[in-house]
Amino acid sequence: MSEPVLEVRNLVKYYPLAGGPFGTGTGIVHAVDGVSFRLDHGTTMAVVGESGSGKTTMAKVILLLERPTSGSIRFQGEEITDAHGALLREYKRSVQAVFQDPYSSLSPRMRVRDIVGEPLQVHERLGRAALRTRVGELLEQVGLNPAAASAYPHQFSGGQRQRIAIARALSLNPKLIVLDEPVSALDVSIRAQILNLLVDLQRDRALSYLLISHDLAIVEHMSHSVGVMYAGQLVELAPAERLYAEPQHPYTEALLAAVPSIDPDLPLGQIVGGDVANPADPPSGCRFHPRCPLRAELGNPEICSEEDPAAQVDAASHNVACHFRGAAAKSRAQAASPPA
Amino acid sequence: MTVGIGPIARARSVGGALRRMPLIPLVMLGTLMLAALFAPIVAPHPPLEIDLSAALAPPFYHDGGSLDHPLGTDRLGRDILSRVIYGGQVSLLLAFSVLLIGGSVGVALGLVSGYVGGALDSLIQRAVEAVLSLPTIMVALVFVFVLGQSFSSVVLILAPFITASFARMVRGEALAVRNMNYVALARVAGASHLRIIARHILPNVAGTIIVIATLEIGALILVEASLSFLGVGVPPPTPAWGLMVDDGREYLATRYWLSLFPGLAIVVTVLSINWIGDWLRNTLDPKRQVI
Amino acid sequence: MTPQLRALEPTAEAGGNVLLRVTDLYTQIPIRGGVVKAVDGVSFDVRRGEIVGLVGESGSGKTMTCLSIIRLLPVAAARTVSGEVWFNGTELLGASDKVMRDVRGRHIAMVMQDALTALNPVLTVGEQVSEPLRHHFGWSRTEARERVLEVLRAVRIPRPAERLDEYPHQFSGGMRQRIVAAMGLGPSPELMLADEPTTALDVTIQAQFLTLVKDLQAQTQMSVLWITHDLGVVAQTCDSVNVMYAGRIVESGSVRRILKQPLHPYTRALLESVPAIGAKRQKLYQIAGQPPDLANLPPGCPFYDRCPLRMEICREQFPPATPDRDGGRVHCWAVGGK
Repeated sequence: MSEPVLEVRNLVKYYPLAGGPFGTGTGIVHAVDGVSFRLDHGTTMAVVGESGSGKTTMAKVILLLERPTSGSIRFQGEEITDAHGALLREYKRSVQAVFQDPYSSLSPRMRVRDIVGEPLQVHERLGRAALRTRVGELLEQVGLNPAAASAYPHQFSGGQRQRIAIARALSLNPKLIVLDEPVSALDVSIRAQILNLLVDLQRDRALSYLLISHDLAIVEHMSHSVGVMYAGQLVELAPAERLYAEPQHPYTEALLAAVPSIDPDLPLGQIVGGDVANPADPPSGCRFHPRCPLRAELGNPEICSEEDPAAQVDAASHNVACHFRGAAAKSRAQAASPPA
Repeated sequence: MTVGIGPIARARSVGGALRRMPLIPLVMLGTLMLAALFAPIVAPHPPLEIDLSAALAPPFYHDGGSLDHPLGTDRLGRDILSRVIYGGQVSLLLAFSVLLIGGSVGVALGLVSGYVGGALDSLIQRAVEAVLSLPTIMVALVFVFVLGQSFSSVVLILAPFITASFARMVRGEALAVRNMNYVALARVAGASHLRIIARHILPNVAGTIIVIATLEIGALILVEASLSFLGVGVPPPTPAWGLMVDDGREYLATRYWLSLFPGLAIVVTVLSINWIGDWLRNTLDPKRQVI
Repeated sequence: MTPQLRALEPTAEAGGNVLLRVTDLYTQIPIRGGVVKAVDGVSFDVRRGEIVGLVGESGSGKTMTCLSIIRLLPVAAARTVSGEVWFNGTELLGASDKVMRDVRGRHIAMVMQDALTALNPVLTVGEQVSEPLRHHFGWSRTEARERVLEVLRAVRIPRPAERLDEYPHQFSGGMRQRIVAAMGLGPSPELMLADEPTTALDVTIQAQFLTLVKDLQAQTQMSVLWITHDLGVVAQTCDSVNVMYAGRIVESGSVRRILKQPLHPYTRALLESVPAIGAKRQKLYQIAGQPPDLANLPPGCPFYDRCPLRMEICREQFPPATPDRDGGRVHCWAVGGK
């Protein structure tokens, strides 16, 4: 079995809460609290969650923009968690990113050719002509006119800027691209263009994507496997079809039920009350327990507020961080086909 | 599926923007600066030439005045017009020197402070606040007594204030830019800190730097004038506007021209600079970008 | 289970069934060298008790339409140049400032996208929710308190009596949005203008908010003009919807008709290009081209450049309305119009 392009084990990132007159912390934000998964070559893994889930922090840590508090990150089998020097440089060549906001992703004072060419300039010593050719090719690959190279970002629309950002991410032929909400800030009619582009690029170049998103429809469209995060933990991890067809964790169910369907005859599913858990002060035991409809249905068993269900590190099967794993699915199945 | 799209908006041209500069201050300032630059050609008399026979002559539009000394003479018979022109040299040269020396140190400190953050940032900012809380003129007075009165000592004394001013403002902007996505992406690409500061932070802070610089020049000219008015600026007999105003103090009621014309020169220069600086700030403000 | 919200001083029904009628609204933004036609001839109705959606992307003119109706356009930046807005028997565009101040907040409420900036961080929640009540009815702080508690309970803020004296930053994003809604609902307005109220909310919080609005609307029979770009939200909340593109309404009708049988090429393209859960496709339908440049709109249909059904006449003339079966309409030469 081939190596996964990315393997994360028990990744933890804590931030101290600034407080008190001398900045002495009065608490810790458990932004990412023990996340494990693997991403296979040439596939897209999505991480979905709402605010406070920790998905953006996790993306930053995987990009080594910040160092994890503990845990391990392996890229193509190699441990890069504490990478420095040459190993870090290699990692930066192979892993790139596209961020949500197309307006702050491009330096307003740089020409497109310098923006797209920057990774090349950092890692390789290309002559001016070679750089221009390369940049022209990249722009074409993302559907832009190569003449755009001499223009400035402000001359482009949001969708076009995102294409520029993608061209830049492709410049070093990376193995993995972290996509942090790549289309959320774009107009609805433009999103399809960018999503199709990303899917085409993946197919043509055997790229792997780590897709961070809150949009479950886009995730279903693009992903091979999906991880659901809540309050810093992965509560469910499964191949995409399985997750959407038979979600096992009550929070996943809640998320899917909350997405308003375009079909007016399909009303919103069961609405879960309460607010998203505070990562600085998460509930005891299972972090979802105060809001969990399954727990209520089962008569508030104590285990939910006392023990934190840990998801096993086993990406092959369907991982669920729930003491009553499968119970939700079972009761749904029973309700759908009552025993004769 | 080739879209092959090009940019949808035209490039903003620097030339186009400059053509919309406000005309009046540009003309006033331009005249003064050109005159100062070409002083030996433009000024009718050498500024230090004493001619006691023509002492305290009035400007040409009064009785007893002549076009030989269009703005009159001072008590040593030195031509006021020439001294105003040469005084411009001194004022502008001083202002630009201080700006260059103090400004470059200030920008560097601000960039480092904003980018690195943490303890270094706190340290630099405390020092900056200390300097900014000092009363400029009084401190300058003290230091002139210590360092002696000369062009270079005035430059050295005023530079730290400019440094502090820039360090404070640039740090704020650098902080804002540092949190931008494009800086994060540069780090993802593996760019070194130096490269990030030079190619990402500095160009995006440049607008602010230019605006502050413009406004500080005006302030510097005023400070220099005040110092020389108090007798601790550039030493006589070098013509300096503030000095000339002070010289004419005892004659204010009777022979106003000794103080009026250098005073007007100060006002016109500072006003024009501030006008242009305000216009620059409005033009470069990113929030004014139309849809 | 739904907390009750009484209607205050029900006003006499002027103008019959139609509460709001917008006719030929034009709003423009002067720029160097021309004019941006933000709202380019918009007409629609909102009936009593109806939730009407205004759907479009950025630059479609939906927010400007809303601001034009209550005359809150940014001063010196935009102007409504012509049109009529009839609300409950009063014409708003020509009304005096005094009438507008009375209408705003009392009869027409507005909930905007970003609750964080809609709430004043230095005033307590109680003060802010009671303010419209004190202003419009002349109540004192104590007189308003009962109503404030009632309305906070109705928007499901837990323990409102204790939380009255807390500040906005002490509430979560979802609760802040509900507080803003409470501010609007206090005086029992006949119409609520909601501009992307859930766009910045998490999806589970959005679901709570949508359910809440529907419940309250059913109770109070308030009309709502809901502005959004999210077709799912439209499907779940609105009774009828107007689709906007480049400052014009290109199609309108009942929600069911529009979403299940869209007629206008833009509406159809939009529906096809949005991925939907459970309807997985190989490739998403792509709308060609770019959003229009509002400063340089062609004389005809603004969707011309991107339309798969375009014809010569589309470039020259904007198509007139072709009615559909249930009182809606579509503006398209290729669909009915000749």
